[in-house]
Amino acid sequence: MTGPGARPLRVILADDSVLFRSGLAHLLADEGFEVAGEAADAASALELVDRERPDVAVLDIRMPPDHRTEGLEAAIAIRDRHPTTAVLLLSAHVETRHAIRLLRADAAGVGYLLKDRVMREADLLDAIRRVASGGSVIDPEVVGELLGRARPHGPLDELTPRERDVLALIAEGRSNQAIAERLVLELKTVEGHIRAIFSKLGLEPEPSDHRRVLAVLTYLRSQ
Amino acid sequence: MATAAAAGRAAGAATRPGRVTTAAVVAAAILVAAICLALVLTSTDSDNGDGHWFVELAANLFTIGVGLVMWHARPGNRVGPLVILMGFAGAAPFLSWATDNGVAWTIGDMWNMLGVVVLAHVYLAFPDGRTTGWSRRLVIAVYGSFFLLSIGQRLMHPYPASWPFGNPLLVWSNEGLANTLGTVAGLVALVLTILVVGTVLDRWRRGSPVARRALAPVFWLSPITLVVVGTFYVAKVTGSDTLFALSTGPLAQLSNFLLPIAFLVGLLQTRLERASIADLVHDLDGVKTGDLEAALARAIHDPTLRLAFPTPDGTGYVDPTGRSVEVPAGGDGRDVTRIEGSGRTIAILIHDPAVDPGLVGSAAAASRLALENERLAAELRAQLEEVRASRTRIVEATDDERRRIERNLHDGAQQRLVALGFTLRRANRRADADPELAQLLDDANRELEDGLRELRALARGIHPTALADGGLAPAVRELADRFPIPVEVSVEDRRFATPIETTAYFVVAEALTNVLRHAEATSASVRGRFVGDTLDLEITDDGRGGADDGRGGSGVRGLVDRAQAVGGTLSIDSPAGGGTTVRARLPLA
Repeated sequence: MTGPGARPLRVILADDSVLFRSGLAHLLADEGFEVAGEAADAASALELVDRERPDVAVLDIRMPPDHRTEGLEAAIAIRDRHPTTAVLLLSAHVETRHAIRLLRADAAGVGYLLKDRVMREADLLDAIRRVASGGSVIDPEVVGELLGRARPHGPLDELTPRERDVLALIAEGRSNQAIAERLVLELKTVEGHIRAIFSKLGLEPEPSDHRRVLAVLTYLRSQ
Repeated sequence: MATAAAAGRAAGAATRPGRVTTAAVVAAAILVAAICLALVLTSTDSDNGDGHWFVELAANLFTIGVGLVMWHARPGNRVGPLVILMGFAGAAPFLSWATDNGVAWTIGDMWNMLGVVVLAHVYLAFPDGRTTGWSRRLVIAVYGSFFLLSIGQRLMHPYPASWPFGNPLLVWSNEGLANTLGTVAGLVALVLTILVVGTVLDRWRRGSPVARRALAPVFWLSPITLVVVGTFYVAKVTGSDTLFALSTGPLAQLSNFLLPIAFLVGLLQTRLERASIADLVHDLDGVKTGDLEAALARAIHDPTLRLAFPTPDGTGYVDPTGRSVEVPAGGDGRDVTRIEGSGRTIAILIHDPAVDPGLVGSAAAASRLALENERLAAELRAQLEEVRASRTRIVEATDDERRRIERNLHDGAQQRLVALGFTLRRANRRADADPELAQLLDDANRELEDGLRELRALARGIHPTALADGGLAPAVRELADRFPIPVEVSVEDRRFATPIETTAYFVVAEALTNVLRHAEATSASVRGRFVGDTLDLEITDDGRGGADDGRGGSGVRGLVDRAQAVGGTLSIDSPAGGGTTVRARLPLA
């Protein structure tokens, strides 16, 4: 995968709001991305990806004609047709089932971000770079909602506060290294926490970061 | 004209005979009897010893009496007066006992068959007293030929010289022609008799069941009548004394008594069936309009009876199934009886004219209340249906409006605010030289983020996108995910009509909100099952219960309203201390 600095990441944008598209395009251009094209609906977004083969497609989940889940369908189709194009789905609402559907189709190189998040440019740029390099990104608010959900007493209650923090970062799609940096911990310590968490929740250890995200999200949702 | 039967009766010539009329008829009968008695007793005729005359006189008086009874029983029917007339006409031959009075004897001898002539009229007019078309022409032919031929013959008939008097009507003596005319008269009478009997048989064959029942007694008696009358005319034509004796013998005398009785029984046949009205009243208890027609038909013994209702706009009539009904004009074999109530026509009965008007009247009166109830119930049903439909429309319009507002918030305000955020970011980037400005722009951006979060929550509350995108099951799960206490969700994942999905969602949302507000519960569950074409929703909590004692307030009322607006039901089971269960059944179609 192409890292930042080597050559600019090529991005296409799909959203039916011109204001939003142009604002985001300006912001990305300012940050050194190459905006290869813009689309106002899912069908033209797919055509655009076919033509431009961008590194990342940023898609709004709701687009014409029905304003339902056209973006989600397009994202799944893009991952299916162009494995080299990562997808970042933007949603105006926290809807975990959409996030899980996206991950389930292909957990690598996909992200689900709350639309408001784009205004925290660091988060947005980080998310684009992470999906571009084959990672998974789940909005902290989605994770927060899942973790904060009222549920009867169960295995989650046995996690220490630190383990809960680690679990949340796993669910957001962070790598062990990123978790260690975020929590200012030794990598070994983080790995220990992760083993403890998986053991307490009765989950099989997952070899890759993105498979791990899906497992954790599915677990949180089912509880 | 489509008159009521009552109006039709009023238009008839006869009304119920008053006491004076009755007394006059009785007096006339007594007078006639006295005259006949005097004529017989003063007669010098030799064959008065066998008592024939007495039976004959008694038969005529009996006929008059029966006619009077008929007239009283069916005042609107001309058959009664006709039978009375037949009785009097039957006494005409008694004039021929006046062996010393040429005028009286001549009239008596000339019109000795007057009773049979009137009998033909009664036959043709039976049972409704009216003659139309062919029957009417036949009646005119009978009277016309009888009077013309009998008087014509008498104008030329010279009496034998040995008689104590000559023919007072003799104008031109021609015995040969007179005798020929007499034979012709007999032949004509024979033909007319056959025609009359044929007409009655034809009427029987084509008659309605009601008419047949009225005709039945007369019908079964007609062979005897035919034999008697036919034999008489054959005797007259052939001059056979044997046949003549037969035609005035015991059979004829029996027939003279039986005929009026047959007419009386036939006429009152339908009246004797008033008991069926009692059955009708019993049948009417809880009868539906469709069955009412059959019940009425049974009560008046007229399977051809049709029930019709005026259309709301008053322009026509429809049958109980809603089909348009042509109201028959008068005189085409159907009578119309109106059932009036609250100053207007509730319904009309179209039936056989032979049915006793009194019987129809009783049936109509008995069914009036049931009809009025049915009409009111139908109106009420229609209004309820309209109210229900309009409530559904209002709820659907409200839901549409919520969806529209949510869409506008999302596509309009939210997008603009996000775009504004980009602009602030870009401004921030260029404000590096001015840390104070950069800080201000940062604050503005944070405020904007908070605002957007609130806007998102608001839009979701107005109409959750999960509902439109994924249906009830995901929407309820999302709702449960954000709920402060654990909510177990078990809803079958299936899409159905938007108004029902929306209603189901808001029932769940409102019920869960009530759980938070009132129940002090530690957990709740939402269950949604599809049973046939019904969605069975159940929202249960483990709280303190007692929600149906009024604490639920307008929230509960609102839930019930929502469910009913789509044709569903909603009930709440909330025993104090035993948790609360809200159960809604919503039809999917």
